[in-house]
Amino acid sequence: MDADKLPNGSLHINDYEKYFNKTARRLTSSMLGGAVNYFGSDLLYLAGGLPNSDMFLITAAKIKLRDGRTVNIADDEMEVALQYNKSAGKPEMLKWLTELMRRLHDPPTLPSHGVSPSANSDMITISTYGCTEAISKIIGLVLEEGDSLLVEESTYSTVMNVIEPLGCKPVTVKNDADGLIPSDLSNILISWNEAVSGPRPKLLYCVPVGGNPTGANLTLKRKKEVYALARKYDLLIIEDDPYYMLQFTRPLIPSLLSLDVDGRVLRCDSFSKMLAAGARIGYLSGPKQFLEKFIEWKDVNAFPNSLAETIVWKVLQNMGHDGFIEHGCRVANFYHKRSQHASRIAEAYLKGLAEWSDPVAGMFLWMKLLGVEDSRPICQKLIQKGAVVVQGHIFCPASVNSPYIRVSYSYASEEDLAKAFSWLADILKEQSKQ
Amino acid sequence: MGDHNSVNGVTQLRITNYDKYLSRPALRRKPSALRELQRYVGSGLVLMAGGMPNGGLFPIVEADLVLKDGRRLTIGPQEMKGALQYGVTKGMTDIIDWLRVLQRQVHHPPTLPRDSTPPSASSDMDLIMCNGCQEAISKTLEAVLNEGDSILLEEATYPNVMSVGRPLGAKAVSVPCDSSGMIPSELQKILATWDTDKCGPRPKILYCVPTGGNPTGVNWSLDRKKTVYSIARKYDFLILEDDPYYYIQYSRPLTPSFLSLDEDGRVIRCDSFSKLIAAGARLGFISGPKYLLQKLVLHLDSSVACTNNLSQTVIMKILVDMGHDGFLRHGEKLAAFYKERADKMVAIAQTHLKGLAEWSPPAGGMFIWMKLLGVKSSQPVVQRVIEKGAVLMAGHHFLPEPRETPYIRVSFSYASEDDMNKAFTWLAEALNEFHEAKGNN
Repeated sequence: MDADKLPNGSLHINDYEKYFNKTARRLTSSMLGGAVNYFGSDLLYLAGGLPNSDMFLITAAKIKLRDGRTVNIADDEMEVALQYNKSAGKPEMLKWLTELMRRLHDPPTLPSHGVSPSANSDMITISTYGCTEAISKIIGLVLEEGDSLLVEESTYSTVMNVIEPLGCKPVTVKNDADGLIPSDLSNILISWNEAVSGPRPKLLYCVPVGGNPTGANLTLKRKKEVYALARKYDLLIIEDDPYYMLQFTRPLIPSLLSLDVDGRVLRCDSFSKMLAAGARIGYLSGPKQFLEKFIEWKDVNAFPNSLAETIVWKVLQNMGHDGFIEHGCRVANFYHKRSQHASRIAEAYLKGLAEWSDPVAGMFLWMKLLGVEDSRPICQKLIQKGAVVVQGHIFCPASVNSPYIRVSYSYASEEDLAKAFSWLADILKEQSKQ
Repeated sequence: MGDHNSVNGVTQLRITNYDKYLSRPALRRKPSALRELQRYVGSGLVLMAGGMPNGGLFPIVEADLVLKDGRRLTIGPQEMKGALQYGVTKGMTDIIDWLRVLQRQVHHPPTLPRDSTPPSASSDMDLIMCNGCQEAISKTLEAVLNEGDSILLEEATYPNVMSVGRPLGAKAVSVPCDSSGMIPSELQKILATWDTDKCGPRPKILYCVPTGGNPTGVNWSLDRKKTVYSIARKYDFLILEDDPYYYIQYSRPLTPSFLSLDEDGRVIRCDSFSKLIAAGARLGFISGPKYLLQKLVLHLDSSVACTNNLSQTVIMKILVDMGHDGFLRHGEKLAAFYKERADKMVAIAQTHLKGLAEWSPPAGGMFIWMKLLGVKSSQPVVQRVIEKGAVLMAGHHFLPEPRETPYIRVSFSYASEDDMNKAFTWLAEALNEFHEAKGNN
């Protein structure tokens, strides 16, 4: 969709400087990066600190895939893979990912095929070390000490580990089985009092698919409402979406990025759940000006892991977009089955003792232990019996205690699930006797 | 309780309180509850805690690495499972153990507990993996520097250190150096006359590249390291030893490191595989006091989640294949390779630039740091040489406090003899053009 044809031009973001904090404004283009622009040109290059790759020990690799095929990393590709590279990531992979974004999300800010991004809000895609790097850097570029971050009432605990050291606070928005509740977000923003709560929020963080920890999906209707509120109150949105393809039904619920006419969505994708968590590769799609600032920061602490990117790229290349989407379906079906087993077994042992909504995506069961105020002692006792789950309060920044636990069904066999749930039932029954 | 070290009858030089060095964000960092649960992995308990995706879905099953000598190393299915899964934040145990042995062999760190006893005191040496020295520098400085803090630097140094420091609101304090490294009397003078009203808090940290200095090619002498260490002790600051070129010293035996002198637990040492095995694998390791490294791990928890198991698995294959002795021999081979290139470039420079430029032959690394004679700023000369067809680095980029300088940094890592001849011919031409123009004015 061309930038010129966007409706509501007045809410369209033309300059992202106003969102950048002091740290971001002080970042400059890495000088070393500047010289690198001459690398590969006709000029003799005696500027860089590139180690001579003749001394690297690996010349090629053969990768065997589960479907029986083999992909090769040839000599010339391996030489590039083992060398320093530009922070944005492997160009061929980024091109492929941009087209994947086009296919899955048809982002309003993505320039037409063949047209280079030029406006500050035009969408580009860069590689990351995964969603955690993406979230932590986005927050680190926007929030100042004393700022607030809008988060779901039950949200990914790592976000707290990101904002607390910065001296920022979470402001929780209620969520339910359909995700974040827009009317609550609206209430919070309407009644915001800077004298009491500090500067108005600039950033909303959410996990709209298979919400971690809730297993809920934010419905399309709600996404539209949330986006409308973001426009009204000029928020940027971090769409943290590592479980996007792990939705249990098709067609996939459209993303916030697919609604993003203004250029206010920073979408964090990951290969961790589908391809290779240990490769630490993900991708971030968002407004060009913002992502260029993100890259300036990567230039000083996180050059791309070209080896891991090349390996992942080979797999993607081999799959193609169709194969990748198919693989996503396979992965979603796998987790769907497991979630059904987990629910069934939970029902057998924990009916009347715990409550939960069946997950609609991802790998977590978010269970409320009935008659319990604080799930922590229960979790402790469960460890003593032989099973580890996560205490809910770490996901609930507004609560001191939580009766919830987060249970992952990614690995546990049906036997193990039965064991664990029967132990949990025993503990809860004992508890209620007291 | 850590080792007791006796120096002039003084025992217990070990630092016990590290909080005094830490920045506000570092002091606020708390353990991640999710990462704490990592300890149960491999325990035999039923694990329903971590968000570990099921590896049975990952498409890669096995890989063969083809080596330069034609041999193959295989990452089998079991190893590959581990390589593709989320890891423990600080790194994989087997590579950390291997590297701890290396550090003991090469540096004999005074703070490294005997045998395989795990570190217990705050100052005991611990070792963690990281995504290269750049990440190590960045995370360490973020752990230490508050707005308005100062960082002691060599007068010509790696630019990416202030690229980190500036956004944090830190100031560069550059210390004069010579061909043996930082000049202790200059460092002493700066610290003795430090005025907190004018300059802010006393510096808590010194950053240096003591081997094959970037950009200078200088190796600090052991004597200098000892003297600077004693100054660090006197004025109580930390030393961030950024040492990616350590094994690319041109002579043997290797000059001992700051880590090898570290009785107090004030050295944070960054090593890297980037120049030795693979820059693109993004793998390095940090050796330093347990307490500080724990803070770095907390930051890594919430910034990169965990280190790259895939890279670690690949590099570990190579390390195990080489063994510790093989690794040291590989270092020697690399040192000889770069020395040969350094000698070539020095000879070619001599041919074309005698009387036009000055330099000390590098003692390690991959750079020559050249002073262009009769020139105030090298920048216009560098521009002219680019127009002629070669890219050299103007020296002002390497000065922590931006100012004009006649220096340039030239890398001999890739350039062929032909390239070197061409580049220096053009540089000589450019310089002669400048001198002529000046003469005409």
